[in-house]
Amino acid sequence: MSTATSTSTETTVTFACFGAHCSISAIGDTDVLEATIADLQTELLEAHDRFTRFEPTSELSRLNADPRSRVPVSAPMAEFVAAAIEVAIETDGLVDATVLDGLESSGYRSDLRSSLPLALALGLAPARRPATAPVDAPWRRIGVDLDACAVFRPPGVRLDSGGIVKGLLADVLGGRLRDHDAYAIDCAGDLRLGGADELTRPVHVASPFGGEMLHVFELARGGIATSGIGRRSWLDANARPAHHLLDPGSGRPAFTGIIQVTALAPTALQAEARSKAALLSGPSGAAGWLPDGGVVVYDDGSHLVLPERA
Amino acid sequence: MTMPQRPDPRAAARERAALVRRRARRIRVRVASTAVVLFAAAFSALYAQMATGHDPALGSGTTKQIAASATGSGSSSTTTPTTSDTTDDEPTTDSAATDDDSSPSSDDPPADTNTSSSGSSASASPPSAVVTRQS
Repeated sequence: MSTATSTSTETTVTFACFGAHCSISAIGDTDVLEATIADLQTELLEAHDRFTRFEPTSELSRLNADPRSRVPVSAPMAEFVAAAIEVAIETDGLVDATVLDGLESSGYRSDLRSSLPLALALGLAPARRPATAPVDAPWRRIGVDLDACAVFRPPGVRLDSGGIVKGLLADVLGGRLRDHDAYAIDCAGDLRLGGADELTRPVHVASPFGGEMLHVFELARGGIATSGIGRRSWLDANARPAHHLLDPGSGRPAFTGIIQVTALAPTALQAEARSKAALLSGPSGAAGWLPDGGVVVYDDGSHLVLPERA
Repeated sequence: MTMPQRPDPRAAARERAALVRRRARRIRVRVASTAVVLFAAAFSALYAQMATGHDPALGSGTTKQIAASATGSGSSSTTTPTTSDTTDDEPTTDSAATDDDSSPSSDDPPADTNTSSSGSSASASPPSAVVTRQS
């Protein structure tokens, strides 16, 4: 029974990171939180420097360029590679971190600050079809030793940190805040919620068309991720519309009939994997990837809400 | 010997009038072209901005809603009082309070934790809303 009431405060820090914005928000003792959040902000910014593929000196770029089959890496890099393998296994190869060659040949070689208008991209896009996963994909030849912090892969197999590292970091940072009353980590689109008091937080799902809100979930914990082709799209060298979500089977940007998926899952990493797998599966297979709920937005602008699992 | 022919004043006037009309047409075309180009550029810029989810009429979304004061270069932070019952296992959140009004907006003054109530008279408020969108 409640006998006393104390006041907590919600502290939020928002900052540019991963080519977008990250925010860390928590309810609890302000003095403790401000120091903790500052540490987490520093950790995220350092992670960006480690995992960006747009800087040749980043650890990811050095790993991708390393001619050895066994490459010693940092513990965070080993965890990322393990997560990339796990995500590929769980999505039957649809979410593949080794499609970097296709991504670069499609034109995604630098941080994109503007985007092709979605309506124009959809108008120029090829016939819609679900993505496929090749049985001999390069990710199957990658291994990682988490204890020894080493990555094994054939030289030339390169990794893109993409959304996987954002989901992973949201979970890791969320773990550091779990003893506070409530927290929300937004790692450039991958969210992790939680906290000791199980406080419910409204989670608004934004439309890729204009940004209006499509749905509001009420969540106390878990992961939420939104993947889509509405931003970070461009015209490639052959004037074909391109974006960052590739069909592993074709190595080309996937146009499946879905333009955005928001997925709910126990963790942000799982939500990240599910949202991308659902988008790549197309309208007929998307709902199967969203057992904990989500929102699917189709090419024609209509959307389907799958309610959160109680 | 023939007398030099005097220019026909009517012909000269017609020529001058034609010159004026041509000049006026050039100016009209130039003004119309400039207007069309300017309109197309402004329309394209707004279209691209709207299509990428950055409706200028809506502001910049969550960041401004929850951020009130800068703490350093490129980052912002805010602190908002929230009352929670620390001795009760049940959440104190009113789950019906789910609209945007439950979260501080950029128009709200930044709350000062030093002035927030620590007694039982403070009203409970849920954690602020978050927005998920493709980054």
